[in-house]
Amino acid sequence: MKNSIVEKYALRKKRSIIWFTSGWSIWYGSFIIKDFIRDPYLLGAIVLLGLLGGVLFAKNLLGMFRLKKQIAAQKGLEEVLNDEMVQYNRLMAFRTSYLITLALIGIMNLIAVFMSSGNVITLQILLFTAVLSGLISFIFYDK
Amino acid sequence: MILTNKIKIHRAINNLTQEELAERTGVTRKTINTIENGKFVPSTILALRIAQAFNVRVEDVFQIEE
Repeated sequence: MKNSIVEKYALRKKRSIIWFTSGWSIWYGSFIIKDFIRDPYLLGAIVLLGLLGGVLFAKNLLGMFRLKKQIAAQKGLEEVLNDEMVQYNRLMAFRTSYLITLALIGIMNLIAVFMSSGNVITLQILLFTAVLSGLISFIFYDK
Repeated sequence: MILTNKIKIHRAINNLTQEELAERTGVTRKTINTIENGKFVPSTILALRIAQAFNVRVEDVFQIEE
């Protein structure tokens, strides 16, 4: 497999993950924050920002599927782009995400002693943090 | 105990760039770079492939230092 092709697709994959992460954090972050905002103008701005984040997230999700298809079409490229260092980085990212999520569950448990919070918001915060920490740590390990 | 390597020396002997070595071993240039700099320890298979690319034994490229 020609290295220039590998480098090209590796860069596209990296950019795609970065934009996907940005989209997720903007979209889901504003989705969570909106419940705490009382000011209607600020709420409108947050909803608009969330919509933009949602578009960014969806666009990059589709882009990632398209990229996966393009990579699979070229013999041997998938194996090179998923070599043992990438697999190791992915494992480390999962580990980091798992530890951060565990820590967050601990903190939320502690908060629950003093004040009650809804089940839905708790699950949303946990989902947001788990996905975001996994993605960010992968970007960090893979840099 | 650390794993040291002589990839850079063997690359120079064989007149190979990191890109060319990556192409021969089926990994990315970044992986070769991190192995060469001692930041990543390769699997046995990859270590053997690297040695094979240089036409030497694996212990000529990788050594354990106590």
